[in-house]
Amino acid sequence: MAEGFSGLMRNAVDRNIFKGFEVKRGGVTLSHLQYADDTLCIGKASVENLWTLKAILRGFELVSGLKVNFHKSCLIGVNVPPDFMERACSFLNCRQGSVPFMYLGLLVGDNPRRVETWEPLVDHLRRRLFSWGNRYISLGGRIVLLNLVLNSIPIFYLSLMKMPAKVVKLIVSLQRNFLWGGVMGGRRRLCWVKWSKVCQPRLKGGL
Amino acid sequence: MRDIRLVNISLLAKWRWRLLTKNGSLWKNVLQDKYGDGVAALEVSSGGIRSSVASNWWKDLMKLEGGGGDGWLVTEVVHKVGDGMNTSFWKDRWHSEEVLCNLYPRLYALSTNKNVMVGELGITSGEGRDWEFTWRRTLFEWERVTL
Repeated sequence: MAEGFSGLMRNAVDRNIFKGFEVKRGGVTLSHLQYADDTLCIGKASVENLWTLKAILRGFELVSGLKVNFHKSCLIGVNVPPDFMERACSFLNCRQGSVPFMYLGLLVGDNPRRVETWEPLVDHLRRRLFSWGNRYISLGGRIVLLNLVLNSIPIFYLSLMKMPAKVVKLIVSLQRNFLWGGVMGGRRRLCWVKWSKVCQPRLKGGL
Repeated sequence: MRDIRLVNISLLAKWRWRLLTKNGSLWKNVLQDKYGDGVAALEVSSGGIRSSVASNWWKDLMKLEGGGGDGWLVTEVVHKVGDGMNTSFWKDRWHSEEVLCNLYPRLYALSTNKNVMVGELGITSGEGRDWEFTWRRTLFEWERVTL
């Protein structure tokens, strides 16, 4: 199905009725990106492009029997005057989106250097660790939990974005508190081994 | 326990690795169009890239090695010679642990073709490989021995 849509788009680009985004003059042209059920169409902001896009989507609906959910779709303008965007959105019947948007589980266009960007991740970790169910876990259990759960949750974020030092500190302190203090938290517990030692490989005395 | 900062750095370094190895992929073409063909080199010079057009993601990737000085990526990556057309004879690490221009500085200074690729220099004759060097002058006998 997705292949069909891709073919339609490619054809439109070849016939020059849909103008994609040119990275540099005469270079690679991007018109659409697809991954699983996510589709992203990229192009110049022109009336012609909108007509083509609408025709392609409608044609795809007719051919495949699938329907585009315009409530889930949105149009995002980059350096486009707002009145054009408004008309375009009413023309395509979809919402107007703004720049940090979710694509494949990550926020596109967000600034990874701001601490706020990482808040959802930190919250996720905190929820995982400091939940009721983990109240009576022993030290050994906490180590396993930290190793398995905590190290796998952020990987997707970390594979794309550089984590600011402040957030690293925050997460390490979360990990440390959980390791030594458990869920109860509250009063400060003693950390018996320094964190850099904890992070060593197990053969060298890490955990 | 893993150090989350190191995990981050290694995962981001994978992008650099993929830039070196994955030829013909769309995202690499996009990057090459935007920042020039230099993106696929081992030592990316961020000086040539205007910082106003570079995305934060790219800037972070460039600063991965701590910025300035010798990048650790260069010293850790070894060339595997295929047809030898992408491997510099003197300046890439392919034969031994060290680049040949550091290992044999005297010969390197004498060679006329300092940017030659392994594939251009080597001539397959019979079963072995012969090297066709071009020197600035004829070598002394003791220099010949070091070859």
